[in-house]
Amino acid sequence: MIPVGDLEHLLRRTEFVARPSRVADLSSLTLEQAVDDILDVSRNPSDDIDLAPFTDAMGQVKVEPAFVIHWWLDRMVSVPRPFGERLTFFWHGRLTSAMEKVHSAVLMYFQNQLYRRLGLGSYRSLLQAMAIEPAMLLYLDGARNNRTSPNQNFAREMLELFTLGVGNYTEADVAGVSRAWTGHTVTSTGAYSYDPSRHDTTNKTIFGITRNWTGPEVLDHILDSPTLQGVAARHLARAMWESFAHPGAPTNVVNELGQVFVASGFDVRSLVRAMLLRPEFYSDTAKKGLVRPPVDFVVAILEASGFSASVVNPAYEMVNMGQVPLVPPNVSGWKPNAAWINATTFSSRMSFAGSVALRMQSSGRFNVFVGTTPTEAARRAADIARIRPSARSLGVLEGISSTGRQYASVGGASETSSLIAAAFHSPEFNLS
Amino acid sequence: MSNDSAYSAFRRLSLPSDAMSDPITLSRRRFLQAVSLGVAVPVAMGTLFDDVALASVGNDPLQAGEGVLVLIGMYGGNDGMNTVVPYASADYARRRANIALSNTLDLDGRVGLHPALTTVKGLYDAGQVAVVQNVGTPDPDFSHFTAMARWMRGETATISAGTGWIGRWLDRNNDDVFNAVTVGSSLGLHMIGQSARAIAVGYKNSMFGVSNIAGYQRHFNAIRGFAGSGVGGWHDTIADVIGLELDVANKVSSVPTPSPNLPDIVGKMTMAARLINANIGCRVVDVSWGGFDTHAGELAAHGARMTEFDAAVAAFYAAIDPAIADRVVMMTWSEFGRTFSSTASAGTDHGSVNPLFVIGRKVKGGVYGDTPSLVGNYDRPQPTIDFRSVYTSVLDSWMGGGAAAIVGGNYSNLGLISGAPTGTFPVAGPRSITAPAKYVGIVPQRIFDSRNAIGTSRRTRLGPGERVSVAVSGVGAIPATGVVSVAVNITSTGATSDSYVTAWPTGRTQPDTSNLNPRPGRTVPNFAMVAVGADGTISLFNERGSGHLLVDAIGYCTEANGAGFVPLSPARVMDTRSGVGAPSGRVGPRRTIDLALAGVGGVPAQGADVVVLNVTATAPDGESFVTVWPTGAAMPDASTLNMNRGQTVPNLVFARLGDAGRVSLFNSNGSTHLIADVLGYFSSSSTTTFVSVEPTRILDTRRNLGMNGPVTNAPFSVAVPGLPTGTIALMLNVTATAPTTESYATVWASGRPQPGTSNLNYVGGDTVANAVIAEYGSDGRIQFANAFGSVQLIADLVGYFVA
Repeated sequence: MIPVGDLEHLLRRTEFVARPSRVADLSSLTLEQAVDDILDVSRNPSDDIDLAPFTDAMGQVKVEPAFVIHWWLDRMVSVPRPFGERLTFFWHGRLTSAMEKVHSAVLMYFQNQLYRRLGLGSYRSLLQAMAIEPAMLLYLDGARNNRTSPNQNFAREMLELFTLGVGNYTEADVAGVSRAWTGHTVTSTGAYSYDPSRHDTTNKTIFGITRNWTGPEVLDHILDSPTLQGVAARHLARAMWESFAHPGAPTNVVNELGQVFVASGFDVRSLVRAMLLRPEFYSDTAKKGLVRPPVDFVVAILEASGFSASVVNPAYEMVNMGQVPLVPPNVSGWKPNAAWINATTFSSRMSFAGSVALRMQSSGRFNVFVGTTPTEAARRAADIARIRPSARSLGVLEGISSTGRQYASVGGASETSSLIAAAFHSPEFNLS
Repeated sequence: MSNDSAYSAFRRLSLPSDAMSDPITLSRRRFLQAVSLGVAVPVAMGTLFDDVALASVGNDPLQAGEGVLVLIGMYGGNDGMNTVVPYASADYARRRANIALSNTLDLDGRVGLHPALTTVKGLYDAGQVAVVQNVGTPDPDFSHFTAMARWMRGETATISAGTGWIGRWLDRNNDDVFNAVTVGSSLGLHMIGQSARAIAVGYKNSMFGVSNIAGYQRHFNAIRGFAGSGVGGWHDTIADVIGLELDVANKVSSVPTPSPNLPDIVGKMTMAARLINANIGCRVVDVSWGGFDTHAGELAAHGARMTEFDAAVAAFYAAIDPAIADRVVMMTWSEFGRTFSSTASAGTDHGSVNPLFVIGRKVKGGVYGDTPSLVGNYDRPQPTIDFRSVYTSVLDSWMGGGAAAIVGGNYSNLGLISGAPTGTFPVAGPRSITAPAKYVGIVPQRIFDSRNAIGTSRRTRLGPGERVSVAVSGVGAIPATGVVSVAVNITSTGATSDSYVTAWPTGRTQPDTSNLNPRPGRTVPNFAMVAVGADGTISLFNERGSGHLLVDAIGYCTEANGAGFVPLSPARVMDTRSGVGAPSGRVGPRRTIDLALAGVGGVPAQGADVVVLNVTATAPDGESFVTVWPTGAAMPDASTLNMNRGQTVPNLVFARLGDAGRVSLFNSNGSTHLIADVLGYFSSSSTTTFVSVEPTRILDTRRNLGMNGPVTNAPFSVAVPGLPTGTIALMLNVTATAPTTESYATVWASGRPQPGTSNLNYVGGDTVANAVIAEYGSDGRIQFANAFGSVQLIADLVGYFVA
């Protein structure tokens, strides 16, 4: 039996929302059983989109980014094991590419499929596939990288952000790795191709070793070298902890998770499993440690309301909330917590939540307040939003239907949306 | 692969009314948002917004000598060579054959402005434009991203670091969330500091938290209550930010917005001027627009941008209050210039150096820096003026200094500024929040009691930081419509901690003022005249600890028929210590005194409906309360005054006259002396009306506002400017704190002798408040005096009576 507070925390962090049905399903299991259930993403339906309707007579595929964004948000809400989508979003913000440079929602979607397909398996396979995915080749200029004019963009970010971190490589390594990755490019139709004539076949010195390196060999070396593999393992373990648990990962946790990752042969499932089983994952620091990012916030509202993304069209408000899928701010992805909170981002959050609450009221599916006491009405609003309100927040919700003569009878028209919106506006709802 | 799909999606992701028209511009815009949204903000948990939450929200007007900077960003890389044109060089036409401009507006015989810049030319001729040439970042790599990040950061270190130059200025200066404002939907990196950041204010889409609909206002008020839960971590930070957002939205809603149909930058510059006019603390206003990445078809596209820019400068000067125009310097910037040679498609590619404009009445006009050489085929020269020199010139000469620390080194000050900022903001009068209204007195009536579920379902104390709303309109004798403000007696009891209580109209921003100060072990009353919110309620806030609140309504102001106020010089009409107006001797338990007021102390024998008194209990021998009501009516379940043994307690009373022009005073327990001073009366034959204002602090001797504190027994006067002609009396709430001894304060009209009356009584260490009505002197001032020892006095103006 898992304490319910721990289980709800685990589900919010891995499945965006602590859905009551999931809490019920998992509450009688051991923590290990529950984690394995959450990680059982093979239950999720196919992520294939039929592209035929988007293909013109010339064979060109034109998909609007908003279509892919809404398709993905709906998957986050609806698949039986949302962790598959949560982890895919982690990789999207980690091994980033963005519409600004890729200029194709279809290529972004293909990369999205790749991260979903390989995201919970071999880290080596994921990195190797990521490096030659057309979206990445376009985003970090790998497609322009050739032996006569090496482009360092991918090499630098791969070393600095994706695998090792600053201080674990030299400028000479960046130059060598760029040359090693020459030859991989993208055709005019957006397909990957390898052009041997563009590849630099001369010797390069990388990590102190001089030979005719290829790009894939560099990635293999990072994961195989006794001096680098621990660095790479800890680099990912830290990023994962900070995304799922809290910023400021404890050093011992990072070190021990790194050891687990190396010992598993860089199996991502083993790393995630070990992370979710750590007692520190359930600490007070972790539980209070993450502001709910806009994607999680929107997914939670979609889940609570039962509306699909295309109905409530969150993409526009998400621009001002600070997070739009397919549009990470830069190659280092999204920053947590403080980046989400200011008057502007909260104006968008509260506007969006308020507009959905009004739609929920109009739908007639949430007429659950009529004839209740203020306290009962407050509890029902909290249940709709899947939150456990503090005494103060419960008081705020009670106050909406209890103060003043005009509001003596609970369940009046405007009160329904006000109660639901207030639950969405609460600090509890705005925390992960 | 086509860009068309990206274009249409970006259109859906952008503001609906954005006048963006081509795919390159749109994707550029999204790129710029990427720079803005993704900035790293390294902070420890819960620290960042502690600072912001403590900062004021638009209540920190500019001080003398503080300059205002308007930043105008031209995103995409402005073609400086077709902005400040080296027309005298024969190479100009040679290198730009298909985009060369003629009819430029000559500046110095060598360079001339784009022909569309007629407003800028006029300002240049008036000596108010510095044209700084050949500015750029060292070692440019011609990438929008890198160049933009460098200009925003204001230094050239690694672009992944997370603060910008205005942000770092803000870190040193921030005391109001409006100190730096971006007019637009997202904040650029340059506006983000380590602990402080600018706020973004749109002018096309209103922020969440502004509505005339009562239900919405109730909602906004309710969610403020999330604050102060004590849960910790990010929880309370989020709750604070909700309140901050509502405050910002309310403050911005009072600034008129320009037409949404103006060109983007013209609307933004108009909004910038109006934000500055509002004097809510804006020192940096940041605006920008795009469409400068002119790879092809440049003449038309760039010409349109120049026309917009010139119109924006003209619109700014048309909108800015002339009295403060000398406070403003504006500065243009763009991430890079463009290649000197044009391309076959009549455009230009990404370049390096650029001219920029620094414009203002305190700018030393002229052309600075070298005109770029066009000899040969050099397209992208190194800058001769580092962009940080321009920042240094503005920061050190206009924005209070600190440039070396902010831009990370000593860069030369170009001497672009001719003098210090001057100009005084016109004194804005207190903002009226109700229509002028007449007063109707009622038999006192309890409308809220947290102990007994009156006006609420609760029987529990208000907690720390808690807000409640109290229904007024339609309750008991108060009409359901037409009530603009209510006269109440608010009583605190059972407090667990020293605290303060604020009352204000529901739906409006909670003011930074207080009405009474609860203390543990005491029952503390105070009178207040509170405007009523659109939903017919008033709101109460308890700052800390927990405690019960009781609210008794004693009258209301209405736009319908009622009485007007007639102020009197304060006169003592009752004193049981000396037998004035009542028998000499203490008032015993459950004793009632009937006090005749008609024809006494200046009150006419006929025609007064309500008499305004300050009633004081002194030397009570136990805990007790006093109720004042119209003689002949049944004594209501309400209290006017609560006292503890030995304590001297005053309160303002609007006493409706009963039988034979008398009011009754009832003492519940023990015995006490009672004193009453008359301050005026309401008569249906008077035409004066009462206007509630946004509570405005006119005196705070702790902060040397109005008078340097602490104050002793020397009378002093305080100006209360900005009130309409015909104002005859003020409604104040006066608080005394940190008195050194037992004493009292008196408030009266300037130009009159000090009366022998008191408004406020205190003993050492007390913090006490009392409502005060004082005649408004003909010189626009009122006077204060403390009797013994010294004390700090605070006065909030809550309304005025006007003939």
